[in-house]
Amino acid sequence: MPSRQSGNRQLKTNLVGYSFILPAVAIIGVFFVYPAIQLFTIGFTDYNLMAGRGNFVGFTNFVNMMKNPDFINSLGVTFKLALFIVPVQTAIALVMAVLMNQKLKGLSFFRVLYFFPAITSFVAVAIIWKQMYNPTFGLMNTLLESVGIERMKFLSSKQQALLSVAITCIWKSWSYFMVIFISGLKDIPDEIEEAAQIDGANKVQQFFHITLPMLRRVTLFVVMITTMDAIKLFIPPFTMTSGGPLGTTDTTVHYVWRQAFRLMQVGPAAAMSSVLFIIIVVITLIQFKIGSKDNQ
Amino acid sequence: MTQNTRRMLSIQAEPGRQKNAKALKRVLFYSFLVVVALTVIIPFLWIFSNGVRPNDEIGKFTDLSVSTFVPQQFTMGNYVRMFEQLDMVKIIFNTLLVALSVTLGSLLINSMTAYAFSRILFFGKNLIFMIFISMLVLPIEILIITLYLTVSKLGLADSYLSLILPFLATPFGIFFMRQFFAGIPKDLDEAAVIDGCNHYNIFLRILLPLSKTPLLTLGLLVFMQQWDSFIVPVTLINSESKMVLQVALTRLSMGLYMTDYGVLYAGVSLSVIPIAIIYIIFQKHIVQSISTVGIK
Repeated sequence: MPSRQSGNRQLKTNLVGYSFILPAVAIIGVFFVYPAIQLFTIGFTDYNLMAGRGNFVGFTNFVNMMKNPDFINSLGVTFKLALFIVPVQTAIALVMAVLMNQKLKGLSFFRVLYFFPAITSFVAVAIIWKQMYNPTFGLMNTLLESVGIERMKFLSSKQQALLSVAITCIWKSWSYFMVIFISGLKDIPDEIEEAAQIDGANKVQQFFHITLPMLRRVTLFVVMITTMDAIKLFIPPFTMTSGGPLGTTDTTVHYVWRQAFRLMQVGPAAAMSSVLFIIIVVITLIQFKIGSKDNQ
Repeated sequence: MTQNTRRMLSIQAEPGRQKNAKALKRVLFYSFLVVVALTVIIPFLWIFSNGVRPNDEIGKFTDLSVSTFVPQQFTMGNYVRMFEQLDMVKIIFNTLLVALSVTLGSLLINSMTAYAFSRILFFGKNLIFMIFISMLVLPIEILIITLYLTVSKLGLADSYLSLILPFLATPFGIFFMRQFFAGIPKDLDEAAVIDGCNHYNIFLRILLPLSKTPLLTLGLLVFMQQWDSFIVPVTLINSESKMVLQVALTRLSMGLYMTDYGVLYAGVSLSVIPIAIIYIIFQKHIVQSISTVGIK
């Protein structure tokens, strides 16, 4: 009976397949999928870490967070950061990629060197820049003074702290995205650029009319990753400012983390976290829609 | 000088002038690259040099002079004090134990899983793969609250296992290895099937030996990610005896111990240097992996 035989064989193949994926299914199921589901259920409770339990409270946490000025502030901080970092860092990475994608001597040396901040841990980078910004002996003030600009307070100034944090993040990551852009540039056939040159297009025209459209997919990828990275920033506020001064650098992830693990308010914190997650998903979907629209 | 010779001279001068303009452009271009390089190097240089000067010399030089970057008195005293103040041997051991366990374990589990997704036709394959991939949009920063609860519920709170187990299978690693396996022609393993090989043998004897390069690349990425990991250990680990390097650094910086700047700078240097060495040795692999990840 051939059909039963093939049925048996399929069963056997299934079992072999499951034996290969079992460890991953167990780990991702227990440590990712289950916590992801739990995030949405525990947000409806008043779970407290000290008590170790909580009761169902309906939408209370969601209503409260909308009235919570610190949480709203943290969303503002997060989006200000993203709105600054994403365009500035992407532009720097793109321009540097175009410059570094020439056939000139020594460029690979510079590329290796530029990449160092990208492989340095964020904690180390944050500490280095906290020292750089030190108002009394930091190197930033040394540099400012040497060109005749007044000393600044950087991280302890309400006006400058967020920008200082953003600059640190860009300093760490621009070269990572430059590398991605360079590999995108390498995929553009030389003939297209040569043809444009023969037609008399100058460098700037070439960049806007050929390079940029050809890099559309890579740019979409870079913008999506950078946005995600900016929204989930935790180490810079934790290490450099503790969210201060006066909450001006208190990102949502940092604020929520403190609610959960310093104030033990796990229920409300989980509710906030799930809202941030939904925001991330919505932004990602919008970016994807916009990015792939003109491709068809 | 007759009109003719003058014209001839000007014709001869023309290519020379163009050459000069080109050379000037080159010089400007390379100077620009050097300036960018300085923005990358100077913060590292300043921190490294502060790490090998006595404490009374730190913060003494706030002008743009050689002494700001080169210690007047060279000392390893900061490193010695760091090992006295913190159990650095234990901290480095903890960091390496976790990073290496996760690296080796996740290479095996991720490539096993990737093999099944690329080579075995089992029931539910696409659904499970979709669930795994969808976990890519769920950053650990969002999940950390419920990951903490899950780890506690399993009785793994404050253990090495809590830092290792959840990361032994990652959607990214599975995706990365599957992309590679998909590029290996199936004729190879079909020939092996005719020779009576089963899936376990094909995976272990044929595909894994062919995957040395992607395994090395993924291994490096995972190791560096684990070395840098912060929000997970700072949340899940309480005991001083299980502290990892990045957490120890923030302790130094936030002055839970008295802020000893010399020790802080030595600590940052110590955390940066091993990764920098790995990067210099394997930079081709690392840069290439980032390029491929970006394109796919």
